[in-house]
Amino acid sequence: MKRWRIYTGLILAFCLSWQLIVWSGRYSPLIFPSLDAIGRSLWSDLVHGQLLSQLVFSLRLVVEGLLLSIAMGLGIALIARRFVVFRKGIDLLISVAHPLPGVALLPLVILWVGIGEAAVLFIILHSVLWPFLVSFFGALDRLPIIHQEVADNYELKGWRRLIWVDLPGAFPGFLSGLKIGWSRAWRALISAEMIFGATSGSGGIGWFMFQKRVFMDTAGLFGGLLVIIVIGVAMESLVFRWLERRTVVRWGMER
Amino acid sequence: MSGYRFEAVSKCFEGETIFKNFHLSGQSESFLCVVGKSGVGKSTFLRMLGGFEPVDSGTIHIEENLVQKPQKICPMVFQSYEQLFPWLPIWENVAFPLRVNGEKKEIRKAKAMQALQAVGLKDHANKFPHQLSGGMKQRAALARAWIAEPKILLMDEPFGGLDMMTRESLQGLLVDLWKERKWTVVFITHDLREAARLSTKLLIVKEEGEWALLENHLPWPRDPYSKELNDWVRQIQL
Repeated sequence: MKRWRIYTGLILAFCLSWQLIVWSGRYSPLIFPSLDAIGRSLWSDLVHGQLLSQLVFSLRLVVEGLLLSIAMGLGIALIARRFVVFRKGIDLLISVAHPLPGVALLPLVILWVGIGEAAVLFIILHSVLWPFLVSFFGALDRLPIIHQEVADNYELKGWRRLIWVDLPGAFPGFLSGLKIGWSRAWRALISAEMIFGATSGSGGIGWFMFQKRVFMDTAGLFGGLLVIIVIGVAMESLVFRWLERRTVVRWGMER
Repeated sequence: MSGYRFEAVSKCFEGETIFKNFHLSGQSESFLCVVGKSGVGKSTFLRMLGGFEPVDSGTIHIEENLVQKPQKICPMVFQSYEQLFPWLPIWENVAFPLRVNGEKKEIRKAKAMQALQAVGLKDHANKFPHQLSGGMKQRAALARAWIAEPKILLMDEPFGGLDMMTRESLQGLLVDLWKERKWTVVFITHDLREAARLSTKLLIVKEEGEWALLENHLPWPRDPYSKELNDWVRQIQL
């Protein structure tokens, strides 16, 4: 409760400072729009514009990209656990691909898969998969030996061992990989949408931002930014925090 | 009959000879305590019997079966408090061997509650391991080993890190369970008084592969502070 009071106080102080700058008249409203202009623009885009459908479009894409990355990451991690040569190859691939910015791959992506949803998904996949694998591999490598010995002791093997012992043991790493993956996916999506535009339907939140910049609708631009921030914070403090409370906090496995 | 047999077992560990042409027979329902100074190979002895550590030469049999890998008939209670799975509530940790055997949930839960009752943890069945004290975790680990219906129960300094009171209460509990369930137990400890209280036989592991075996004929029930037990402890030389 105390934390929320502090946050609310800080946000109010920020808004007040913002509004004071606006009232000072030093900057043009095109650079520093007032809070009520931002609010009105956001309301109008949500109610009368396409912001909501664009947001749904973006969230659908990011969830698809995230799920695809997790499925691939899990598959790769499981094969890598079984075959040492495959693991070495993946480690090499991670060290090459992980530092590579998604934007650097854009020309290649356009050549390979064009400029549609598939291109955005490709960029999300690239942004999520490698950090997810690093985190998940790390967790699998650090599984406590004692739990492995207990599993050996009770002759637990194969898929049942994987599901009952290895995956729950690696869950904190899986979750932190998921959190990193989400934030990278969200960032990658917005960048990719700004570049690829509305290649199908009305486009996403990235395209919304791009349009606002082109038409110099700064209040709308800040409105879009606000939506992006709110979604990021909501995912972090509601979804992931809830998931953590239900799992690693409950199990005493917080790191 | 759940005896075990070491035949001409030799084992080196990091260049040091721990066992050299070692022979030992353990009878069913016996309680062997293994004592010795740190680093002489007490845990290696237990890990070899449990199939966690291979022998360099010789053989180990449990009943007539050659030990080659860990087996559920010889559950191990480890020294570490971390041996329980943190993501499972206590009752599911205890019922884990039954889950591996494919038992239904109702049966698993009923048997786990029975085992938890015996170790005094029934009221903590739905807690997670991190919510329990060290002594309670070791009790739960003991209940898990019990539920596996062990032929031989292996215990690697399970009460090593506990305070004196908890330790003595767990020793009493273990003796009661051992007598009631007619287990064969191999128990590692560095505490001679603990060994004297629990064992029917005492294996003293010395340096460079030397060892000695003593019978413990102290009468039951054993008081860890009795003169008789203390006199017996005093005559032992590690």
